[in-house]
Amino acid sequence: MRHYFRLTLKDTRFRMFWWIFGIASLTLMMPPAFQELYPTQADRDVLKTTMENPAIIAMTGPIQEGDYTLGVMFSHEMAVFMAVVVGLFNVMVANSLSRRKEDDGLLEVVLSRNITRSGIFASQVLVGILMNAILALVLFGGLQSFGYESMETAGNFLYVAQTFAFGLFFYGLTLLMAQMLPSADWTFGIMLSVLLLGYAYRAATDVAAPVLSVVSPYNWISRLSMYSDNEAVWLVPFILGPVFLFAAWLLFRNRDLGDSVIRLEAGRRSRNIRSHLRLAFTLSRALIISWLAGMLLIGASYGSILGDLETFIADNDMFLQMAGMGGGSLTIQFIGTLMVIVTTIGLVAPLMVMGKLLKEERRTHVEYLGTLNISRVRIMGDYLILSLSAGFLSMFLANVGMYAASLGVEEIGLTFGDYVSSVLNYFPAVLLFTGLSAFLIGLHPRLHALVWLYLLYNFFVSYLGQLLGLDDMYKILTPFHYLNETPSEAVDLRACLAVGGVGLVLMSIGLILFRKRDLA
Amino acid sequence: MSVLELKGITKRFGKFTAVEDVSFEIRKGEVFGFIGPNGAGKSTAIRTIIGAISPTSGEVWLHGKPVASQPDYRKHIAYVPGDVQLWPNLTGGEVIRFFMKASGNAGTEKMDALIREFRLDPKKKCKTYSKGNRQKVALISAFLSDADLLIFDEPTTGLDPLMERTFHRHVLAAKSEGKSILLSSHILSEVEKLADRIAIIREGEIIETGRFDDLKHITRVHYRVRTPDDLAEIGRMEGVHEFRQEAGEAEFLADADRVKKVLAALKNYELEDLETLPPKLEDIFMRYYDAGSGAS
Repeated sequence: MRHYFRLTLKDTRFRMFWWIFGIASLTLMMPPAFQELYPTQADRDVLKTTMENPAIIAMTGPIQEGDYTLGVMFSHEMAVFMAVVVGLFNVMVANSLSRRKEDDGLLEVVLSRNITRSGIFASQVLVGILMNAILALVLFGGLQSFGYESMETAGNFLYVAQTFAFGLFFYGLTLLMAQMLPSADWTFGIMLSVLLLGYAYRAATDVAAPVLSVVSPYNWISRLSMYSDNEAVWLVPFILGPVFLFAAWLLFRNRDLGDSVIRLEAGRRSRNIRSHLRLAFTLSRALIISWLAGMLLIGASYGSILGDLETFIADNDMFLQMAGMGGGSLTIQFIGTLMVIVTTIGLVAPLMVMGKLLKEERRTHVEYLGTLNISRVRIMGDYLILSLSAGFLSMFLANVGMYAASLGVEEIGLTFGDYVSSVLNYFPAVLLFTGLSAFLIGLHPRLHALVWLYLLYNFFVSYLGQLLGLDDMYKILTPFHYLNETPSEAVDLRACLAVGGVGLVLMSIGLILFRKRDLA
Repeated sequence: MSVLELKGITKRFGKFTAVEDVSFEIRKGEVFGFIGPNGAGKSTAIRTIIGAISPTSGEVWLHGKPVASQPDYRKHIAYVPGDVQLWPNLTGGEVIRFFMKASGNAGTEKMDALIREFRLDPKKKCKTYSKGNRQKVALISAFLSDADLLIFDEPTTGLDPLMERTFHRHVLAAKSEGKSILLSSHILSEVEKLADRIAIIREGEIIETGRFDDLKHITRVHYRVRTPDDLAEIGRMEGVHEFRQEAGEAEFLADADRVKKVLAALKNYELEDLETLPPKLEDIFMRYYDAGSGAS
């Protein structure tokens, strides 16, 4: 077991290092930034009044009672948001160590080598605990080193404790799902949905029905009241993490390898796969469909808070004065922000589909298909078609969800057409990201990770930019700097053509490079 | 006319040279054996033929033209990789039918016949298949295609002896249809059985090409002698290898160019029986290995 643990660690250490490095530096960047932007308590109190509205609460969770100190501000604006990233980290590592290894037949090999099931499982669990512990230690060290008055040891400890507990919660749930679901793709798809829908559910309920929000683990973080009351009791529900781990062990112990508790494709007819496009779709179907369903729900949960936002603005004269405009347009501005965020989330789908192409290459399928006289251009082209469709549908369904869930709110005054034109406005971003992805794959299979980093960067800029009023400088590198913010602004056709054009050029270069390069 | 011709193919990965100046040709209707130990560069050479990697220098010609000038040259090729990886969630039947659609032919009867002959259950998902069964899927697809050049990279490593014979039968049938076959292998008896000509590759370089009979000069002859005398003297002669003698029977290999001297020496003993065994490709290899290790 010791050997297998060491091997697993060696196998994942780079990925772990980059994740921990990324999460820690992003988190630790913030307190000094907040301090600089809002140096006095008076500054922060003003900020607090502008933040006490449904739109912000939907993004960050409810605001604690009492002074909006630096610590409170840090935990309010960062904790829930970083939890998504920490969750993603845990889902990906847990899935790759468990179900992915099982699908690839590696667990079977290891089992045959006199390493027991308990040894394998213990290694998986230990890696999870270790990586979350390292992350917690790094964060704790960093937070302690600042020495800000409002960020004392107890608060810092609680912050890293919830990071650890939240991570382990999703690590455990992923291992459990890995036993329940029939493949690594399903496990990843479902867990990603749980992670994002948990966030969207919290957003909707925090605004509309705060009591119901407690179902979502994200809400437990809000209820910890870090850096003020420090209600450590809300760490208790995270005990579910170890419970999931235990349940996963019970299932793993008795299950046949390759089998699953839930069997999703029993007794279906033989499909007739006529073309490579059909083949590519068949391979990425589970991923695309589960993702699209998630997008519809995310859109709907955002749409469901628009009514509350409208009421809040109408009842709040001070807010209106401060914004210096009519209530309706403020809501529309918020919808514009949502559109950017939804677009950024929607971009995940096309990148995942392009990732399938990489997997096809790694499994030597591209090589094999080549000898069937299916050209590389055709192979990548088919994945591009799928990517762009998945990207378009992601955005479209999210907007349909938003529209449908806010149908009852008459004051917004947006027609279905407005939502559709917004989808079209942001579609060039899909072209750009898909193009970048194709370009990187054309250069070298290992470079594809960069497009994910770029997406993460976009997400931070559009999310944090909103909260912090980040300098526009950071936005210049993102397509959202150039595309107009619909629906509050009209579509800028020139910008759309420019951004989309860059995407198409990258795509063409990617196709040319991919046609010629050596396969891995 | 040659169907396939490799002209001085060299492939480097960084500083490592996988194949160096590899040249050979395959003629219409012949089975060409491509043999060498693991890691000798067989698969790298094949991957340049199918276009998975491009050679650092040299050219691949098909039907008398460089493949670089024929974008769709691969319609003439059917390929069975050494390690067949299929789509885990598709069934074998689905994959075979897809391959048939992709290469544009549709003889369901022939497909059913081949599936029966190779005893494949096409309704099972590929992830439940053993290596041999995955190989069958690829072999069936290759034999179904209209391609006139079939490339097999270590095709029988996962097949049982019965299936191996089925495979051999189909290779010879394809040959009689005028197709050309490139058969890469380290299982020498198989190549010996099927190949008209062979090329031997070692550490990235072709060391010998030609008809099997023509390569005899570099082989060793295997003798089995029954005698009451002690033949230890023979065992010490130059060009005699792997000498063994027990219970009145001696066995050894003699380099082909030393046979005369060995036979002359044997005359001095009382021989009850002298058996000459046919040369094996293994023996060719052994000779090269000895030379290689001697040099290094």
